[in-house]
Amino acid sequence: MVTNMEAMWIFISLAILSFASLSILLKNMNIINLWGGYFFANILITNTGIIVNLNLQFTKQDPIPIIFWVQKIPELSLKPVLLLWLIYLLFSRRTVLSKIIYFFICLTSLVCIELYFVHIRYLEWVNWNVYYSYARYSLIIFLLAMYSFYLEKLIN
Amino acid sequence: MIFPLPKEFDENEIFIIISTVVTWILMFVIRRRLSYVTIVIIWTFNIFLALSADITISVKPYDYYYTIDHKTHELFDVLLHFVTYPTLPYFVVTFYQKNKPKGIKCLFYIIFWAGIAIILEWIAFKFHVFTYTGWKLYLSYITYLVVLAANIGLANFTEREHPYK
Repeated sequence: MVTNMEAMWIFISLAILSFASLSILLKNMNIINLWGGYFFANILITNTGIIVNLNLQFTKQDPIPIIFWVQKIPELSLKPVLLLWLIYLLFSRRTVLSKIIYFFICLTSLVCIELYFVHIRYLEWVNWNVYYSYARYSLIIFLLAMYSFYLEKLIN
Repeated sequence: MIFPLPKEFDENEIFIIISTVVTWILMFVIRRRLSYVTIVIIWTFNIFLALSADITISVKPYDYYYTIDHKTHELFDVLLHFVTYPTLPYFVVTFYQKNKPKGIKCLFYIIFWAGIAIILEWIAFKFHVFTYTGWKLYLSYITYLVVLAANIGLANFTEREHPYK
């Protein structure tokens, strides 16, 4: 089993990597759209997260600071950056098939982050499962794509 | 319930509705000095900040305060985060664009608006929009200084790229 500090370092490293990857994304995406997308992705992740965890209590977690922060770090870094990459790929000139493949890779990565927390017992799924997680992130991607599309139109 | 309704429809809900209506009227009365891109970015940025702050320090393990009636994220929290909160930074950056104070003047401008923000928060506190369980008003003041400075920086950057015409 991974210790709290190990888990923390894993996600700090992934956060650094994901923010570093934004420098590549910056060359291909409008910086204003990138900022807006990052903020909006966070809003969607947080809002859906609190509905599921705090309001509906479909998931549970121990109120221990380190457990809280280990989950907070990817919420602020890895997850929104993954979403931004997906938005870039979805609006790029690629074939529909490759876009579908990227969509499922990203979706599965987002769900896997949650599965990892369940695996290391940071998160307990009470009335929740993998399919609901897929539905949650699909909704987030759809809303973020809409936001990004209209913001890009406004920019141009 | 996805978003719990108020326990009782009382002073805090009425305060939120009135302050939302007043600030939105002011938004349409005061001359716009920002491009639509800047408005969208500033609005999204402030929802992000408000949500992140509330969902970091007002929930377990910290529990420094709670908003309105419940310790959950209720319907009026959504109104606060998405409709009410971002109006103040909107005014801050709008008035900033009029004179564009620089250096020490800019510092005083931020200190002044953080003062306005803290007065509004104190009134909201009196109306039980916020219930502090460890949080202090002076901590909010420090937070406003940073948040308003960040807003001005972000608005300046966005206006440089997409200026108001």
